[in-house]
Amino acid sequence: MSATAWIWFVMGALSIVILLSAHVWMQDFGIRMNWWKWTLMVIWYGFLNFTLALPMTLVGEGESFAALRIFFLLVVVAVILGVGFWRLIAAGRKPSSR
Amino acid sequence: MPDRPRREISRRDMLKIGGLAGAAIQVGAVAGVAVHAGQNHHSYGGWESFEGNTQFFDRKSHLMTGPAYHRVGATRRPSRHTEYIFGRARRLHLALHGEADQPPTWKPEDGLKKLGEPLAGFYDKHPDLLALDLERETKLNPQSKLHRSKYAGYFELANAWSEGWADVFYHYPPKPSSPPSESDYEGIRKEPLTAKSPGHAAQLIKQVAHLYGASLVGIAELNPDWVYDVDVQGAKPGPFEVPPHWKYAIALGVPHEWDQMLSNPAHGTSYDAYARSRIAAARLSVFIKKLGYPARAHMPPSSYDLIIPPILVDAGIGEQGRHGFVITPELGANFRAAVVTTNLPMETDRPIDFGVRDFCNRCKICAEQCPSGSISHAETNQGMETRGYRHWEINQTTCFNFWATAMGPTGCRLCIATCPYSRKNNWVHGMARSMSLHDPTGLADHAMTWMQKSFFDAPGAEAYLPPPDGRFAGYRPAPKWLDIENWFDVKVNNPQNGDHR
Repeated sequence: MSATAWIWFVMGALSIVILLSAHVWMQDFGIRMNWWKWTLMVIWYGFLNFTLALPMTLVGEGESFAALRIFFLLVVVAVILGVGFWRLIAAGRKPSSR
Repeated sequence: MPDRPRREISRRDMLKIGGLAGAAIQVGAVAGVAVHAGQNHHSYGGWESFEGNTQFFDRKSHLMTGPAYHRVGATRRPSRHTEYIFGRARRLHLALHGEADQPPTWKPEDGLKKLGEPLAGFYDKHPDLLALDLERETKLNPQSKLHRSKYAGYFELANAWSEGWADVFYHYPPKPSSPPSESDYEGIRKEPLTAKSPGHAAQLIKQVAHLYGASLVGIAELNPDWVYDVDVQGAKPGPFEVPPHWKYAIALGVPHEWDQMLSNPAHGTSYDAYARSRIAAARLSVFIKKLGYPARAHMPPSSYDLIIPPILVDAGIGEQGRHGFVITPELGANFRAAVVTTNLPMETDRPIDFGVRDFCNRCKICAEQCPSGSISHAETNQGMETRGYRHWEINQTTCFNFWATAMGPTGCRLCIATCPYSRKNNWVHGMARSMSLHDPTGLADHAMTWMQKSFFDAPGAEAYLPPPDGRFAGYRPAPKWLDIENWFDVKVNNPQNGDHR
């Protein structure tokens, strides 16, 4: 298996760990998850990765200044999205007894 | 001392911590993979493979139903002696300065009549172009010599790289030594092989052209309006009829090396792509002859009997952009083309429309960056007409005059470098192109043009000029491998750092 294939294999395995972990975290926060909450969470996590991946690709191309500016723009969007999504996801939560 | 209670980590806590750690690793890995994607040589379209996978865009979904050009008047063939800027410049240069065995024949005080036709008639109609041509000959060229004496050292490596490519021009292939009716048939197979169908022939030609080094290939029926009016190569000077065996035009495209292309006009060259497309076309013409059909290669830098860009449009390679170059879905404007004319019956391609016209109407980055102001800022190409066709026009003369002042390898190519389509094939630019292609509202184009102008630095039109107005800037710095100070222990004046000793 090539190095690239290994990277994607490990990334896939990590994704499962992250999802299982998120499930436990949500239980402990007393949040009952449903399909749209999971969707919002996955979208935000995807956007977080995008926020890093896009500028880093530009860094690889030698466009470091553009990368930095775009990174800051995307971070602001990611924070706003994160806060908004969290409010929707956490609405009406009951603190867990655990 | 009492024992401190042992804190136990449950499996549940382990999973929570593991998830956080996993997310951190994953985000870090994405960043690492992304940097690799930006550097990866697989994104250097046209320099990574000769297997034809360089032409990956699905053109079938974007075929034009109507003509690629708007005819707006009577059409005619282009003039090789006057409209072809290199032809005109050469004639005027010879008249003013002569050559080794030929004394000068004209000076401006003599008046136009003494200059002789066809230049006299042309300049009589276009006195503005005479003024610009004389400015180049009498002011800009001598000025450039002075600049070279100061700064040539800084560009020496770029010039060496360029000359390495150019060497092939002088040796291969030899110039046609006889008219097309003879030289196009030289070495031809006696009995032509008959293809199973024109589709088979087209498929074979494209596959072979890719293997000979062409990144892009398309086939069109040759429109005689694209053939020069006089002096076909290999024949006596004078007018000529378009040979009947120039029925089809096979258009080939090869990109410039991507990093040096972005450093134009300072360190880039035309000659890498010129040489590769020249060799591919020359080989393809021989291949076609061996199938039993006449063929002629029309190749950079100046072995042409026809103008290339409209043939690229006819062959579905791309669309013409504001800067006059053809923009392709795979390489943007970053490519140089050659054409092979033949009568081998082949299925032809159709022009494509993938949104360049609308994009160029909005973008204007090339026009804003052009140091000579040669590219129009107009909202559309309405009203621009050349030989009966409407299309984007640039001021070739002011463009060529800037070449005279530029310091690196001959030419400029800045409009190729600044064009947002001329970007490598990594996921970021692929995504941008795809969004532009599939967004009928134009919002994606607006957003990306805004991002390009707001986030990506550009030196600005003046910075590309010679000192003292500019600093011989490149759109991007020279790649490390073209930076002479990176390899050699030399002392050079670096005008880009304001080193104007």
